[in-house]
Formats: sequence, C-alpha cells, structure tokens
Amino acid sequence: MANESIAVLEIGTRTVRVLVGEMRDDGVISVVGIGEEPSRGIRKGEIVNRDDAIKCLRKAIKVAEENRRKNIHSVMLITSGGQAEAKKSMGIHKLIDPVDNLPMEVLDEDVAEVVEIARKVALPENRIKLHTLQQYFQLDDSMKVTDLVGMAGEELRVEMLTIHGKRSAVDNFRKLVDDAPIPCTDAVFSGLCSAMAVVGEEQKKAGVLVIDIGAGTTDFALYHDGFVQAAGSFGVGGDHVTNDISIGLQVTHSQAEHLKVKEGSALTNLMEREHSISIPAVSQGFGGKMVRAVTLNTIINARMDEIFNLVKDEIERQSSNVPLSAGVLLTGGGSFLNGARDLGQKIFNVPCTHGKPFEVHGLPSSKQGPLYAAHIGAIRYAASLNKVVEKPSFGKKMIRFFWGGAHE
Amino acid sequence: MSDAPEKDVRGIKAPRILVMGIGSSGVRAVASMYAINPDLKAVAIDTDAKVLESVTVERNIQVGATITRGMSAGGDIELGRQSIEHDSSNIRKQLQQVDLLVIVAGLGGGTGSGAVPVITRIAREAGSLVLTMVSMPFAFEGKKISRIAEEALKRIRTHADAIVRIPNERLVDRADVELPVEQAFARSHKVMKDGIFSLGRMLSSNGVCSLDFACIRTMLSNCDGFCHFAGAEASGADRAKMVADSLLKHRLLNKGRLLENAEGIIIGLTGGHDLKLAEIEKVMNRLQEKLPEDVWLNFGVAVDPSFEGRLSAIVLVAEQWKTPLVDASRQMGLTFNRNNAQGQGELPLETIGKGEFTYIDPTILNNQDIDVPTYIRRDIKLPR
Repeated sequence: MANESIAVLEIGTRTVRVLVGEMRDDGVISVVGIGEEPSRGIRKGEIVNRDDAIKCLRKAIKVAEENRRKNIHSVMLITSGGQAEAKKSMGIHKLIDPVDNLPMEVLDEDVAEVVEIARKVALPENRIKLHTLQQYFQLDDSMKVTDLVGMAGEELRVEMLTIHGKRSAVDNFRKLVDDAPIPCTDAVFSGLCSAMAVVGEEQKKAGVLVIDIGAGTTDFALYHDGFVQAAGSFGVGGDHVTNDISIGLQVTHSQAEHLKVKEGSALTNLMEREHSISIPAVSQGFGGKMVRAVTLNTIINARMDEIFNLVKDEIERQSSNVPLSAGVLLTGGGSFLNGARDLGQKIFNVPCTHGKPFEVHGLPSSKQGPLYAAHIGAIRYAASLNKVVEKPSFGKKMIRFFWGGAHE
Repeated sequence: MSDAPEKDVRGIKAPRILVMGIGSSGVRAVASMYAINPDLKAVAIDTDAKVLESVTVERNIQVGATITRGMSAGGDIELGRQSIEHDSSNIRKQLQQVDLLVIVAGLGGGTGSGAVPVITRIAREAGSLVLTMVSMPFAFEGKKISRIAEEALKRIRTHADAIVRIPNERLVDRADVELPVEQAFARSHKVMKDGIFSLGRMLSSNGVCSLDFACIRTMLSNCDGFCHFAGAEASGADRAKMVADSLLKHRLLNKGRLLENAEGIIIGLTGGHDLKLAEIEKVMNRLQEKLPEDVWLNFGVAVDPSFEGRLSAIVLVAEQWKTPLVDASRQMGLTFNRNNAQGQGELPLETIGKGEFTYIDPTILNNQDIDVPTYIRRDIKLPR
C-alpha cells in the first residue's frame, strides 16, 4: 500500500468525530471514512460520564469503519488538552573550541544538541507536554536564523514553544480510547491541528490567528514569520453561549440551542428594531414564550465578545504586537454562529473569515469545512511525522517513542 | 473619581457623581454647567480639539487624536467609535470609584453617536450606574441624522441603566418664531443642567428629606431603559400651584399625558429657607391626582439658600417598570464594596446562574468564573 491511511479522533463536547484519511503523493489528503456521533458524558472538553463517553466513542468508530468498510487499528487523538497553554523556552549551546578558544563552525550535531537542550522544559507534575515546536535559531547577535549549519559563531541558541496540557485530562482521554479498545498513537493539540489544515505557508509568514471555537473549548494558534508564536485553549465555547441563553431567557437547554442556531447573532446592531421570536410550546408545562431578538443577541454578544477578548489578551500576553496581516480564521462549530465573523473582525480589527481546509478531497461539503479543520490538520500532522499509524504492533511501540510529543 | 473617596468628618462616604460630556454638544452642555457650578465633577470628551479648547471644564480628554487628527469625527460614527476604543484606558481611569455616571451628549453626530455606546459599556464594566441624557436632533436636520441617533440609542440601551431622551423638536414650538438659534440649541442643555443639578442637590446632604442613592438606583435599574425628565421653576406667592401646573403641561412629558401611565416617578423639590410644608403638599397632591394609584413614587426636598423665594421641581418618570434581569443585590455589592480597598476580598461562592455547569469544575480566568454568563458578570442589563 503506497499511502498509509491515518485515523484521527476527536472527542468533542458536542460530537465525537472519527476521520480516516490518506495523504496522497501530491500532498492532497483524501478522506476515506467519517464517523460522527453526538457525544454524551463530556463537558467543557473533559469527561464527566465515562460510560456514556465510551459508548459514543465506540459508535463513532463503528460508523467510520462501516463508512470505510475497513477496520481501524489505531487512532491519533485530537485534544484541547484541558486548557492547554504555551510556554517559551530557550536552549543555549556554546560552540567555543576548548583548545584554541576560537569560534567554531556549526555542525549538525550542534543543532541537534541545542534543540535537545531546549526541549527539556520543566513542567509541573500535573501538566503534560503535547508539542515542542522549534522556532528561531540565534547565532551570537544574528537573530532569527533558520538554517545555520556551516556558519561560525560562539553561542548557538534556539527558541522553543512548548504546548502543554492538563495531564489528567489528556491521560483520561487516552485511557478512554485504549479501553474502547483501540490503540492511541499520539495526542495532538487541536488548536495547532486546525491551524495546520487551514493556513498556508504565505499566511504563516504574514501573521495569522486561527481560533477553533468548539462546544466546550476555544483553542487558538497564532502564526507569524512562519512559526507558531502563541497557542492555548480556554474551557469556554458554544455551550456557554447556549447556557447563557437558557439562563437569561429561562428556557430549556435544547430550546436555547435552537434559538442560538436559528435566530441568534453575535452582533447586536444587526437586529431589527422590535423583532420578536416566538418559542413554541413543546412540552407539558411550557406554554410558549415570546423573546425579543435584542435580548437574545445581547446575551450572545456578551459571551462571544468575551471569548474573543480572552484570546486577544492571551496572544498579547504571550507574544505582543504580532501583526495579523493574514487576518483571523475561525474554525469549529462555534464559527457558524451568525455574526461571529463580524464580531471577530470588530475585535481584532482585521478581516475575519471561516478557515476552510485546503487540498482535501472527500469532505461532505466545503461549507462544513471548518468543522473538519482539526481532523484534516491532524492527518496532515501525522503524515508529516512520516510514521505508520495503522499497523497496531508498530503503533504500540510508537506510543512510548513519541510520547511527550515530537516536533512539527 | 480618580482621587480618594470623599469622606465627611465622620468618615461616611457620599455617592460620587461624575458628569461626562461627549461630543461637541455634550462638551458645551457640560461647560455651561461647569460655569455655573465649578464644584461639579465633570469631564469633557471629544475628538475635536477646537471644541475642547474653547471650553473650560475641570478635565478634558481628547480622544482619537491619531484617528481624526484632532478634527471632529465629521458625522462618521465608526470614527467616533474607533477614537473612543483607542483611548478607552484613559476613560476607564476616569470611571474608577464613580457611583453614578451621568453621560451628556447630543446624538446624531459622529463622536456622540459613536462614542456613547462604548462609554456606557466601559462604565458598566467598571460597576457604575449609568444615566444617559441625550438630546435628539431637530427634524429639519434630516432623516439620515435622526436615523443615526435612533441607531445609537439602541446601542446605548444595551448597557445604560437609564436613558433620558430630550427631543430638541419638543423644546421649541410655534410660539418661538423669534427664538435665536443659540438659545434653541441651549434649551436641551438647560434641561440637562436642571436635571443634573437637582439630582446633585437631592443626593447631597443639604436635603431636608433627601432622596438617597438607593432610590435613584432602584429607579434607574427598573425603568427598562427609558426615562422621561422634566423640570419647572416658579417664584412668588403662588409658586407651588404654578410649578405643579407647568409640570402637568410640560412638553417633555407629552403635555402631562406621560404622568397618567407612569409606573415609576421620582419628584425632587428645591426651595429656599422659606419653603413651606403646605407648598410641598400642594405640588405633591396636584401631581398625584394625575398619577396612577400604584405608581412607585419617591420624592425628595432640598433646601438651598440661593433658591430663596423660588421653588423648583424636577420629575423623572419611568413608563415601564420591570425587574432587571441582572441581580440587583449583586450590582449593589459591586458598586459599594469596590470602594473599601482595605477590606478582605470575599470569595464568590455563589453558583447562581451557572445552569448546566453548576456541578462541574469551574473555569476560573482572571479571577472570574467563566461559567457564569458573561452578561451577569458584566452587569449588562438585558432589554426585555
């Protein structure tokens, strides 16, 4: 088999989704199997009911297997890491020749050495490393060198960005997958995956922010100069919007969800003057209700505004004054909320659009692209690692080998 | 105010009122107030450096210097909005420890219509009570301008506790053919001025039977957005009757018709040392004849030596009376606890309004429980 197929799995707060794809030789990913199942037992991206969660997971995998007519042997887990955070670290390696005390030429080994030093980031017990992303090299005073083998200098430095998540959250998900039972090869950060699917090289250089608004979590990754500058995750998402609506308007969760999707908007000035929405009487004891669109949109606007501002403040904190020349891209289910893009544009003051995966075949419809961004990105990531995910025996070995993350 | 909370000799804090004039019309209104009463805590905010130069106010802030280059927003709301967003940290600083923020502006222009919605939001986040007094444009200014004003009003409504609309159109009538243009525009300023000064007098200590801040707060937080305001003044022996009559026929109260279906009302009377109980009784009785029986009524009397021989009355009328969706007790805590910085902070343990997130690990970011709806944490009053 020329192209190995890769299965990725995301256990979201709203949906459990399995995607099987193959990386073709021309760099295009072709999706060969999709399995989706509304998830239960997950809140804010963390497991609250293991039994329910595992049932959904099995169903989703079964659907994907039927869809593809082939078994799935192992999966790669996409996780938002229970509020992942990013940390910058620096590795320093002296190049001075001990004998004649002169600057030396940089060798491949030196580069490997300094990367290895930078990789060793001390994290608290309860955090787990998801990715270590190599950023710039720095040779003496020349900053932002990307390829420096053969150059001469005294001191070699490298900057690393470590994305780390909550150990218990990630471990629980891995155990859940292992108990499904299906071997889990690696855990990857969903914010980074989404970005990998929707952002091209050009955009990475110019500066682009990808925000994946899920039901329970909002993940983001910021690129500039071709490298990830900031990344993270917040335990707030579309479900919070729904919950706010259900509290504010005193309606049930499902009614609130329906209102949000059908009538809601993240902008308050899009509203019509005195436009009212009727909530029909569905169940016993609820006699129907009229709600003003203004009220609904005010609630949504407040929450969405907060989500965007959380991201904005966080990227400002991690890496300030990064130009967003290529704009903001929204992925995930939350990006389909009416007015979300306009609000994003208002807050970040740059164009804000849907992030659609490119170079992909076999997605249900391009309109739904933002939903699959993280999965496509994960397939691309797995393919770039050039490792075989499908063969179980090899995969098992890989777990230990790649545990703790591999660089991009 | 940015300075330390004012305390009287016994260390009791008085509610602090800040008047903010926004846009050229608002700045001029504030300046005319400041000219009369230099004790007024006032801030003038505009994009136009020329307007700010021409007035004397305690503090003035030019916003959006890099955006409009010191000129006016030129009727562009977007420019007005951007200017204020750009300098929002400065505005936030002004709003520290303000209990009642009174915003004065003329809607229809760029800075006024663009900036006021932003300032109301900032003020709300800072925890102050916001009363917005806006003058609405004349009909001859055109449909476009009045639409801009209406749009701005809608946006202000999301965050402001109460909005007092002062339609310029209603302040002049056919009898005013000879009215000079300066005075015509200044009329709305005078209405605002009367209102703010009377409120200030009522809230300060020299009231005989003064309104307290809580009454105003109840009124503002229950009025569902819009309030109506009117003032009247008279002197002479028959002043009580004259004041009552002119209030009952007041143009801003739709010739008294608003009083008939009022659901909440605050009446403030100011007189000199010669103010008699009988006079207060007369005014109150005349007004109550018109008012519905179950109206929420609160009144205050202030005595000011400069009002010798005169009687002035203001009314603040709410047409709608609705309990706000934001928990009022929480808001109260926000406004007043904020001031005692030495006190030990309380850990917010309440789980109200968390809905389906009640029993799972809260997400705490920036000392806030993110699971609690944003509009509750930001104290945004939901329009019903």
